[in-house]
Amino acid sequence: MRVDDILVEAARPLWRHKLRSLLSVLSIVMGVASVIALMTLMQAASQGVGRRLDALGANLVAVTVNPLAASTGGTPTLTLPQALSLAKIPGVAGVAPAAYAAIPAERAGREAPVTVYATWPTFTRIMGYHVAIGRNLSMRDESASAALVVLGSAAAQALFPHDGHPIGRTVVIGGEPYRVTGVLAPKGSLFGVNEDAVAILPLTTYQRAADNGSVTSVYVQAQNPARIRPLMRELADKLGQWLGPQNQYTVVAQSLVLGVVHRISRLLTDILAGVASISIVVGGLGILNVHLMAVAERIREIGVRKSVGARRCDILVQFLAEAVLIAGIGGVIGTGLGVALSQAIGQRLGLSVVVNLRIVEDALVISLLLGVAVGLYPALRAAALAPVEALTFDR
Amino acid sequence: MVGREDVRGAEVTVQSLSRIYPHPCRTVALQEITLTVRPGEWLAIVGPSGSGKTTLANILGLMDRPSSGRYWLDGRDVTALSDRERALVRNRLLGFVYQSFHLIPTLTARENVELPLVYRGVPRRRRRELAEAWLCRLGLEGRLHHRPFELSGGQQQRVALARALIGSPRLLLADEPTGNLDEENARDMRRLFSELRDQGQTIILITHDWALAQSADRIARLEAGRLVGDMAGRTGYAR
Ligand SMILES: Nc1ncnc2c1ncn2[C@@H]1O[C@H](COP(=O)(O)OP(=O)(O)OP(=O)(O)O)[C@@H](O)[C@H]1O
Ligand SMILES: [Mg+2]
Repeated sequence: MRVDDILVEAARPLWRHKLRSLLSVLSIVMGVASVIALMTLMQAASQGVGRRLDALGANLVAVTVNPLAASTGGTPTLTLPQALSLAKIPGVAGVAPAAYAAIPAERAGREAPVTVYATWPTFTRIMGYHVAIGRNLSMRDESASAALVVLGSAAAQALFPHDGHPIGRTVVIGGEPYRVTGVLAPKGSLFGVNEDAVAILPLTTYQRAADNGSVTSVYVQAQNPARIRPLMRELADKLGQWLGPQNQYTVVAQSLVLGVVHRISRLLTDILAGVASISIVVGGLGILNVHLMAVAERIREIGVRKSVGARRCDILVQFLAEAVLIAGIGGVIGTGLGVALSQAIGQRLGLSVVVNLRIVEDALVISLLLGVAVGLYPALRAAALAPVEALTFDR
Repeated sequence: MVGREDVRGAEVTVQSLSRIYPHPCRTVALQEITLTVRPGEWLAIVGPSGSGKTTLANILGLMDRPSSGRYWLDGRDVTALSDRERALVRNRLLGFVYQSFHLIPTLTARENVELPLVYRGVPRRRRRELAEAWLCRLGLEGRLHHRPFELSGGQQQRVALARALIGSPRLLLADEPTGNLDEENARDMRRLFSELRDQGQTIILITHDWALAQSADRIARLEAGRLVGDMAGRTGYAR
């Protein structure tokens, strides 16, 4: 049999039984589309986490004195010289000593919940903030204990809702007035913490106001993200010398936390892909049933074809081609639909969706293999029929 | 049927051919059949219902295998051929016409006629030309694109005959070709078979139709699976 004849013979029954073919094609379309959409969306989501990781600074290590341990009194907290000495550890690119408190910022009867960081000017760079308007704090502000503040974008929005230019205006934090010198660009939220609801003050200014010379955190920038684990160990050793038992402090690398999130989202992708694959398998079983019926209906036709010289392989190829054609058409339409769906849903969820050609390729290959898998058994049965028996078969 | 080149008919020889159906109960459908049909000869096989005529035709058409005995087609032993080789012989050397036509209902008349050439790998255009030529010769020029259910019984049988002949078979087998036809169509069939024989086609025809059998060169009679009579037909030839 010639290839063009095989295709014509495969397409003919599809055209004849339009509804049946449509349903078969649809079940493949659904399976393939859902796999592609799920895979693409999950990939977009986990890439989002990955990008966030880079934006945060893959090389940030936060050293924090355990606030409960600190408040039980016995152990002294970190001092500024101790915090600054961490910068001398090899592999450290910079440090920002900080104290923080969750106290509201107020202005003209408005109140904004903010996290107050009292810290050095290096803080913004280490944390990956960018100053949108005005200027960052400087070391001169620090040494002068200037009453200045840099607001996160959400804090600025809450305190100056109708006024686009808060620079030079005054806000009240913990009962003290501070003049706004800068507003940060939005950064987004991470793990539900809004990183734009912040107010950044000079460390000395805050320490004087709070009458407390201690430092609760040190934000450390590593030179090399790949060397973050040994660096964390060294930091922990130092803190252990100063503060004693382990539960007095924590050393956290944001990249490692995000890495776990990243892995979890990858695992989720795999689970969802498995679920979607089941829908493909279910569709395949439906088509298997349709093919078995189609063969049963056409036993006499098979007998006629054999009587005029069709070989076993001719019959096999004819029925197999029919199944592969259905699966192929379903695969192509399903791929298109899956891509369209993932774009549409991605847009609604605010994910930037890039369609991965590997996923498309895999979906097409899988749907063709499925066609072979479900077509093979009915086709083999059709081909194996003895000529006379097929010809005289009585339904 | 003008314009057909002379056909080289096959010689058919069977020796001690038996066919036993084991199911549902053991039935000896053919018993020790020995028979020779000369090239270009038209043999009619008659016999009562259940005497084994169809069984014999199916074995001669390589659609079924005998339980024992040998079968030579043009001197070549085809008894033990593989399924694949048998399909090839059916495709190249044999043409088959049945009582119930056995056309494929989803194909048009022309597509049905083309079928043997599809399995011979003949290009589409050439196939169409040949199929149309055959259908025209059999008076079906206006019915090329009709499906079987849109044709009368006589027309369907002529489509089936065109399908049997398109591959220039060496042996034409017909199992009750007029069984479902009225008197007029049966007479047409008879005329067609006579023309084919005149062109040198070897024909083995199974029939209840005495008039049709009498047009053959030779008439063999089957009874309970045995060959009981072998006599001359209208041409007067007998072994
Ligand atoms: N597939 C089969 N399985 C079992 N027995 C069969 C089968 N086909 C035919 N027979 C038996 O073999 C015998 C011969 O049958 P066959 O069909 O060859 O007769 P026939 O001469 O063609 O009859 P008719 O003139 O009615 O067509 C019958 O007894 C029949 O019952
Ligand atoms: Mg019969």
